[in-house]
Amino acid sequence: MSRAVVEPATRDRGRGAPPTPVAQWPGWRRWLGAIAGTTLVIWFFSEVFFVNVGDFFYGWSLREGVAQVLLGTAEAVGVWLLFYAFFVLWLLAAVVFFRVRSAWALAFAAAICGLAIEGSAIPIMYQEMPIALLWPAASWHVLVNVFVGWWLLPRVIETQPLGVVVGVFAALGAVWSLWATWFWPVGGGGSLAEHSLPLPPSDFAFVALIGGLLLTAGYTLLDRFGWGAPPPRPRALAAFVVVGALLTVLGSQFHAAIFFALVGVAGVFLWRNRVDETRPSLLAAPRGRSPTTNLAAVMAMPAVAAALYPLWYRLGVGVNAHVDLVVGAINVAAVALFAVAGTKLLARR
Amino acid sequence: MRRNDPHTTPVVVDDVVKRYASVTAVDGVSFAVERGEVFALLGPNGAGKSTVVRMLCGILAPDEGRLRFDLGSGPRGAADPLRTGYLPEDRGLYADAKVLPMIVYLAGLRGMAQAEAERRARAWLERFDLAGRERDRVDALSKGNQQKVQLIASLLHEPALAILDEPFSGFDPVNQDLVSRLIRQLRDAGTTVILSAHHMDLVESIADRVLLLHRGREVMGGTLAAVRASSGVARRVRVTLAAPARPDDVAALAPANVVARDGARVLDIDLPEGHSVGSLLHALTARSEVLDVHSEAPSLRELYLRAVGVDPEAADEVMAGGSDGARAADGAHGAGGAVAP
Amino acid sequence: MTHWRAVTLIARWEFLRFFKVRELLLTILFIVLGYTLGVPLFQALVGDRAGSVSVAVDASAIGADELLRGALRLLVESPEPLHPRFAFEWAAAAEQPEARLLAGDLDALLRAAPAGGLELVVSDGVPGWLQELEELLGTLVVPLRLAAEGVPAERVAAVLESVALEVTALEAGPQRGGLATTTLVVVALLMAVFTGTGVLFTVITGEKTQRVTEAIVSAVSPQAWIDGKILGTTLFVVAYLVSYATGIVLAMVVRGLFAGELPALPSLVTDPVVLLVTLVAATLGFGLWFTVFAAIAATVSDPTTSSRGQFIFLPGLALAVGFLGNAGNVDGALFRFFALLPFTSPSALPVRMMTTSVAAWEVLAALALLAGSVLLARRIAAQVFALGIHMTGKEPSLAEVWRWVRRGGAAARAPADAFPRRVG
Repeated sequence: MSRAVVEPATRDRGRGAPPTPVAQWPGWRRWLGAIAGTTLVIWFFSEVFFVNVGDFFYGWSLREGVAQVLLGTAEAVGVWLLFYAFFVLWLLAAVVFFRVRSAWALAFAAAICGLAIEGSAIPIMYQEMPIALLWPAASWHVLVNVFVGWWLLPRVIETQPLGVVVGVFAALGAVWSLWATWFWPVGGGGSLAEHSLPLPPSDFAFVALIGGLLLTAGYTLLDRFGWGAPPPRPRALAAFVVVGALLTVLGSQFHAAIFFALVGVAGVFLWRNRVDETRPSLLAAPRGRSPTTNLAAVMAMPAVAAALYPLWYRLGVGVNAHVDLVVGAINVAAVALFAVAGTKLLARR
Repeated sequence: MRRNDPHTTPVVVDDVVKRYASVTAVDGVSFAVERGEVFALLGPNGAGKSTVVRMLCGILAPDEGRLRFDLGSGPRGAADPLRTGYLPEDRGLYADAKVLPMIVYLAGLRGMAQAEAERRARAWLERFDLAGRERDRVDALSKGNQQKVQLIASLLHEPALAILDEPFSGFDPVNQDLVSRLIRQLRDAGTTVILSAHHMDLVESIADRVLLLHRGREVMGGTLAAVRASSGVARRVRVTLAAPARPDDVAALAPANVVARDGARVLDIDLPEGHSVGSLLHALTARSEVLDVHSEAPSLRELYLRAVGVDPEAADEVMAGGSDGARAADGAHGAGGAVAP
Repeated sequence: MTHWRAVTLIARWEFLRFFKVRELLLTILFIVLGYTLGVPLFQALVGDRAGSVSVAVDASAIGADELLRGALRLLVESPEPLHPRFAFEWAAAAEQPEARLLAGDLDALLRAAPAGGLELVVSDGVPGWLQELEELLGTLVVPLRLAAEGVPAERVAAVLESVALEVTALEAGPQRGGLATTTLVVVALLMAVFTGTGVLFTVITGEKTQRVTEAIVSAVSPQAWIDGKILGTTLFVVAYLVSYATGIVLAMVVRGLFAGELPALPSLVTDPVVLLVTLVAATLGFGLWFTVFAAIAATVSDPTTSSRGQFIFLPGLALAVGFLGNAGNVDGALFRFFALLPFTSPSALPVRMMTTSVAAWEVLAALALLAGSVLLARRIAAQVFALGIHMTGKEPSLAEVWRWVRRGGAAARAPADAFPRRVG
């Protein structure tokens, strides 16, 4: 079923040119949209939402000049997004090859993505074994990046009324403003103003703005161009797997064996899903077109985050003293998810 | 009474038994209800009607026997609650709730969407002369109006099967007529209706088939014509004589069953099938002077009372449900040890 | 309809039966007004005035010990009150200080004791501020005694200086909550749980009386019904708790704005993780206690005469364990046990987190045990509920209730499922 059946949306190519029906776009453009959109989303929740250390985040600071801001953005786009596109391909390849449609199968496909982020191109995952295999590879990336960022939120944008979308993203903004305090120094309070870490409120607002814009772009790309991408040709898939494996070996060297072993374990569960699942995958399944206002409502997240962050900054409110508790809770939730998902997949039929 | 064709019998009750600590409330009752008919369970208080109804709705479980439903299975093996409407015998309303929100809530539990439930509820309230009372508390309504609200809540979701336990309770004659018309309209719309009542005269005019219960057992059942035919009484004739009838006069009327009253001046005669009123009068007038004759088909009440061996003239206690079974069943439904081991 | 759709509908109904936005907003307004206006009023009435205890010093007292004389002169003749509670004046003999004492114009009279030293004369009884007065005199006399021993004035201050300790923490820890915060939290939990159990008791026994049971149970399973009741009641008391807490915080902020300085907010408010854990533990705890109580309420026949209403105090006794955190050792084995035990952890765990460092595994374990207990209690309670809601006229004995529980979950889905039934 093509999108044209749902709504004959078209793209206007300018005055005088007949509009191009979306449904007739070639598959490679859909794939480009899917990869670009997914990359922006996964990168956002991995790097921006999980505000990482760095005095000026990618150079996004009002204290620097416009040139520095542009350079930082170019670095983000050129380098980081390229890396993340590679990680995202692992996710999308797993989703389409194993026909991932249910939440249980998505858990294992998302785990492959998380393992790729932390342990393929760069051997980060292997530095604090064995817990690093779980956190953040198979917990944060699975639950936050993929489940919330890539699976749940686009559904909310697509199906819910504007008020609900604003509410959801505002709530996420509140959570973001609090989570951004996780790396504050011990003691908080009066010492905050003396450090470039943590980000001062103005810098955080700037980071939130640019990050929010890029996230909105990601959801727009996914919504307008990404969903409904046709299954790739087997040769293209095989080529990616080979190239991806080679790059992983290059990046992680002998650690790559751990990566492949874990991907293999996930693959066992996913193969059961492939055998039983008859519906098209999450990526291939057609979807409706989200209202533009709903896509714009994504900016409620950086707006609320930027509004609340100064309050925590002034009051010294933060989660930095309880990071281990939050991490522990996410890890426990992830383990529970894999236990349930694995049982469900193995028990089918 | 049993037809097991799944296409025409959405409800089949097969030899169900329900016991409480001190009494057997339902003892081997069987019947089948055809699609789109009005089926009445009749009997005095304590006959076991409400117990049967509660088993149909899944509130109680039979100790023996089976119940089968062809409406689509509900999650608990009882009639599918989304396609069944139930009017309880005891008014089950939240006294402190407002009328409209409560109706919408109860309809929501039967699967209706809120907006649609609200729209329909307003229409029903207007139909029952309760427009303007949407925001009143339930306990501010009269008993009759509360019963109307309960009826609306039971039928709002347009169930395929409506189970109404004592639907006429609390209503004056005008509203009883309203309910009777409502039940006919439900039948005409294709709804299968099972109703339980002790107002046999009211039910007589609307039921397609009946089942009469006494102390948990079936007494008689079927269409009204079949019930009358099975009783062996085609007409009831009351004859008033100028002079008391002699035993020979009464014997000459055989095989009609004769009850002499008022010093044998009034004869209540049950005329069997195949015997005409004319031949009866011919036999009577040959022997005595007839002052007055009144003939009618026997009422359900009279047939029931005769079937349980009670003189209709002295039937008040029976119809009031003064039996041990009635008291025990009512109390045992909630009493300690109510659940059979 | 799915089980959870039915639960949501029932929960919403139960919640809206009691949650009235207007009343809660009015309550918050009263709290804000009460705190903003009441606190200064209270202070003005009770303790704002310097010298709520008036003490007259008799001239004879001057003739006592020279050091005491110096201290007394300081007390009476100091231009600024040396203590906010006491006001001193010289007693004039003509004014008959003892008569003034008996008339209530004076609180006490200081004069020379017959055996030497000072005598405090009051109208009746031993005053509660006696120790404070003795300490005040002591702080004035000690420097004078040191000076009399020849200690130079500049050394006196050094001699009397207390030892200050500088604190260095190796790890980031939570902001410690004070006695007031932990007490408030436990009191709030108690209020909420009593409100919830009271609501449940009234609602369930009322529904039995009003015969609502049949109408509901014919539509949904008893498990769905009790789940919805518990969820709705829990959400109601949590909303009630949050709005009261919001009112208190707002009141503190408003009063702070009037005073020109933002108040130091309780640590519970400034530590979002502790706040979140407290809310989660409280919600799960309410769920657990309300589940137990719903089952008890379902077995009650007549609420006016039933003795089972006394169980309403059970949750209060369990949650009052939180007060022990102020009196005892929060790091001791007993309190740590209470912080893990599902019935007491809703109050003990937050108290621990507010007063000491709690390992992440302890928090996660406590919450997991709570959640598991709620799930187990829910199953058992539904069995009791399913049968108890039909019973009127007599209350089942505990043995009977135990028999129901042992019979298993069939009754909770519907009594009908306990018996063979073919659907066709």
